[in-house]
Parts: sequence; C-alpha cells; structure tokens
Amino acid sequence: MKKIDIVAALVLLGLSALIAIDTWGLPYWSTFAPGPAFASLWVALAGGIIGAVLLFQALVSKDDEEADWPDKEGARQVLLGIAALWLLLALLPYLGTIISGMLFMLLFLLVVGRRPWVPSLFTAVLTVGLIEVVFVHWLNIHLPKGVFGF
Amino acid sequence: MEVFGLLLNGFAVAVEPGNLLAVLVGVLLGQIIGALPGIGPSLGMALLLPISFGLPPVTAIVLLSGIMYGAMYGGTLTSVLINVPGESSGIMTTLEGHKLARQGRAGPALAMAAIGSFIAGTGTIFLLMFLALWISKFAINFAPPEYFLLAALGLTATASMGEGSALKALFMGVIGLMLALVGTDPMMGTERLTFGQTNLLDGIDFLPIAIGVFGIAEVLASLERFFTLDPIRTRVRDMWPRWKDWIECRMAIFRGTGVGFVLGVLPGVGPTASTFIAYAVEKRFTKHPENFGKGALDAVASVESANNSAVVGSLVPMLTLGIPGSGLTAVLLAAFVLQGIRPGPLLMTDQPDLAWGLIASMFVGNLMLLIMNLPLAPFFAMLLRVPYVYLAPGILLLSVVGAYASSLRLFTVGMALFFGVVGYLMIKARLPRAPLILGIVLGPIMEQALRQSLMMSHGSLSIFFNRPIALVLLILVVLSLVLPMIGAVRRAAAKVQSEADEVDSAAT
Repeated sequence: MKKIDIVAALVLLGLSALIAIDTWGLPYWSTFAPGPAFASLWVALAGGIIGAVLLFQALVSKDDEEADWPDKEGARQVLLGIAALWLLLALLPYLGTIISGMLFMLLFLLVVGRRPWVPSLFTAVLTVGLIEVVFVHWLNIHLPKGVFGF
Repeated sequence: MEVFGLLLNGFAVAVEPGNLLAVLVGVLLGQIIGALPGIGPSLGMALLLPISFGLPPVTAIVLLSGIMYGAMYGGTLTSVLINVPGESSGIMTTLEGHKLARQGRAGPALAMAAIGSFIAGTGTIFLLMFLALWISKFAINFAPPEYFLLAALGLTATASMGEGSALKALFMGVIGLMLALVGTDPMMGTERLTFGQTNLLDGIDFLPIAIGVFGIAEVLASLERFFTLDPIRTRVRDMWPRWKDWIECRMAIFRGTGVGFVLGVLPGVGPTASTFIAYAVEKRFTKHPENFGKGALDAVASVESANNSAVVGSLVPMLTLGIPGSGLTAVLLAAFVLQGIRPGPLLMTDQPDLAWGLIASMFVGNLMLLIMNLPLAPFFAMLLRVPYVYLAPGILLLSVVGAYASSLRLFTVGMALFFGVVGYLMIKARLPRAPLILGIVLGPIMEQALRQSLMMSHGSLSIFFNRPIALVLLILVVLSLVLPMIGAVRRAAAKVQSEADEVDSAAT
C-alpha cells in the first residue's frame, strides 16, 4: 500500500501543478468579483497540501501492507474486460449497437468468462434485445447505427 | 396540521397511475439491484438517469429514490443467504444474519430485517416531513456565505465521518473539485482547463464519472475472481415472524431507527457508518450481548433499521439545503438538476407536488417493499442463483449505452470507460469513491457561492465571521478537518508508545 500511496500522492501533486500552470494566465480577481483563476488556484493549493501530507505519511510509514492485486488469472480477466470495453467503443460507430453489443457480449462470455456457447448466445441476444426495446423503441434514443444501418 | 394537509396532497400526486407505476418499478429495481452483489444502488440510479429525462419530474424522482431505499431492503437477501454484503451498508447484517441462516433461522432474520426496515423507513418519513418543513423555513434566510460553508461541510464531513482514511477521502474530494473546474467559468464565461478540447467546453459531466466509478469499476473488480453463489434455501412459510421474534427485536428496531436517522441527517455519514454505530449501540444495550458475533437477531433488526432510516435522514439536507451528504443523494441531486429543479429551502413551497409527492411515495414504496420481502423473499432469492459471469457483461454494456444516451456522444462513453479504469484503481488503492462524486456535484455550488459572498463583502472574508449561522458552520468545517488530524496524531503517538513498551519488556 505504501507504493500505491506514494503514486497517488504524486498524481495529486502533478494534477495540482497542472491546474496552477494552466490557469496562471487567467485573472485572479476582476473588477468586482473573484476571477476564473480564483477557485482553480485555491483548489490546486489544497491539492498540493493534501498530496504533500499523503506523500510524507507514505514515506515515513513503517506499515507495508500488501495491496490486494489480482493473481495472474484474475489480472487476465480484468485486462481482457478492459480491452473488450475499448474494442466495443471503437466498433460502435462502424458496426452499430446491435452487432457491436453482440460481439462484446460473446467475446466477454466466451473468452473472458469461458462459458459454454449456447447460454452465452442466449444471454447476448436477450441483453442486446432488452437494450434495443428499452432505449430505442421505448425511449426513442438514437443509439449508434453502423454501416449496415442498425 | 399544515403538514398533514400537505401530505394528503402529496398522496394525491403519489397515487396517480404513472407515479404509482414509477414507485413500483423503482422499488422492484432497487430490491433486485440490492440483492445482486457487484451492482450498487448508485450505479442503478446513474444508469436510469438518462431514462428519467423523458419522464415528468415527479415520476423521475420517485423512480430513482425508489431504487435508493429499495436497495437497502434487497441487500439483506444476499447478506443473510450468501454471506456477501450486497452493499457496504450490509456488512454488519452479513456478520450476524448469515450465522443465523446457518442455524436454520434465515426466515426470522429476513422477516425481522424487513419489518425493521419498514418501521424505520416509514417512521422516519414522519421525522423527515417535520424536519424538512422546519429547516426550509429556517434556511430561507441563508445566503451565499451559508451555502458555501454548507457545501464545504458536506465535503469535509464526508472525510471525517465517512469510511476509511480521512486524508484519502479529502484527497478524492479535491480531485472531484478539480474535475468540476473543467469547462467554462460560470461567471466570466472564460475557458478553463479545457486544453483546447471542444468536447470539454461544457465541462465534465457527472453521469459518465458516476457510471464509471460506481458501475464499470465494480464489475472490473469482480472480474478478478468469478465466484459461484450458493444461497441458503428459505421457504415462504418461514418468512412469517413469530411473536417471540418481535418481542426480541422491538427495542432494537427503535434504537436502530433513532441512530440511523440522526446520523443520516449529518452530511458524510451515510447508511454504512450508521450501521456500524447502530451495531455498537445495540451491543451495549441488548439483554444478550453474548449472542453478538454468533447470530443475534436483534443485531440484524437494529442495523437494517439503521440503514433504512439513514437513507431517509440523508434526504433532509439534500431536499432542504441542496447539499448531498452521500454518493446516493449526490446522484439524486443530479437527477433534480437534470429536471431543471434546484433543491433547497424553496423546494417545499415552490414545488410542493414534487416534494410532498416524493415523501408520500416513500410511504407507498416501503409498503410495497414489505410485501415483496415478507412472503416473496424466497422468489427474489432465486435471482442469486444466476451466475454473476452472465450478469457482468450485461451491466457493462448497459453502462456504455447509458453513458451514450446521456449526451449522444461517444466522447462521453470514452470518459465513462476511462473513469471505470480509474475507479478500479481507486478500489485497489482503497480510495473512497463517494467523495469524488460529492466534489464534482458540490464544486460548482461552492465556487459560485464563494464568489458571490466575496462580491457581497467586496473581497472581505469577514462575511463568514459576521453572520452567526455562517460562523457556526465555519467552526464545524474547521472541526471536521482538525478532529481527524488529532485522532491520527494520537493513534501515531499510541503506536510509538506501544512499540517503546515492547522494546522495554523485551530488554527486561
């Protein structure tokens, strides 16, 4: 947990610096009221202080509780899940919601979850079907349609 | 008497067919969401936010709030029957309830939890009514200084009274404030922190972040190890409580209700912390403390009453002051804002149909949940037999579609996925997620109120000291920051002393 805390603290310090630098050129005070940089500089300062305290605390801490990272199989499943999600996002504008959704569900269940074909196909059809009925037909929300028109 | 007249008007709104259906759907979804591990009410509410756009305001709000308190009922099933808390507020129920189930007493545990939840839920709605009216009248005089400090207190109190490390909670609150800065300055219209991206000109929307950190992150975390749930079977006839069970639990329900409501009203405490404290209080006052840890029915009744009454309590600051005190009420506040309504002191007078319709609908919703949970609990328990691996991709796909539906832009989906990964890392780093959402929701309120206050005072900070209510709130904010630090220093000193004592005793 010590390493994680150090990384988290450094991230916050980095974000605080980024905010301070990016808004430095904006007015801190206008004629009659605080300007756009007012809140951002104070938030950056608060972030800097909290980040510094967390970093100090992590560096001096003698506790070194192990972080709860997944084992190899678990990490595989998490990374595949993340990859499947980004693939879904990439395919949506080209293949549309129905085909992308079906591919995502099947990829997830067959590859990540290693489930049998038949219940996976049933689950994919049921889920995508429900989404179409609720979002497209009931709520009239225009979900992405790909080159095939659906 | 004025209150009861308003409540009757509220019932007239709540029993309109559309609103009644919304209550039923909301509590049913809440029950299911609460029962299924890996899905929390925050995700359920966030996913239904886009759906609620097309509904009238009252219908949308009663639907979403039904999920909120329905999930507290549903969480009992998984806690008692599977030994897995459906929500973090179910941890203490899991501790005692599953032990009771293993002793063949799952039925009484579920029954008394349902009855306790009903009594607590409906009893505290009366308290909500009177308190909300009183606070609304009192808060009419609030001005920007008070609103700034209230919002700040919402954030700092979450840090000091919420779960886990106060420093990490403040850390996440500040990150939320940073995210809230992105976009266009609300007063001057200047671009701020957009880095040249036109997609960021409208700021970072709350919804994809909520979907990401509450939904996608939870599912990713549960992918680490797929587990098969084997719930203990219960029978319908076991669900009817015995008179003896009621005698054993009645004072526990009363105590849990009181503890939960009082703590729920305080920003930052929430149902989870309320259940821990209710458990401790019940152990102190019960006639049989020796049963605690081995399956104590009164413990289950107490914590279940506490979590339901805390949910109702948390609505008090949200409805009357517009200050959410938890992740759940932050999502509900977002729903109000999306409907074009700003909760606050004027809500009860300007939007009586909405405010009293919501309150009345909670009576109806709690009754529906009692019916669902007493005789029908074994049927809901069947849901627990669906392998989670079949639910997970559906939740993820629904999250993606929900994020898209909120803005019709794939950029929003990308943001939800990004925050899903961030949320997963937050779970690993034990960084609490509710303060992030609170920061995003409270950030604009705080900035606007602070800048207006300084305009009023021509830049002088004395405005926060000269106003009595503002001064009290300022003291509370300072205390909520200082007390955790003092606690941490004392713990560190005690640890150093204990290590020194060990060295001394080893030497001798």
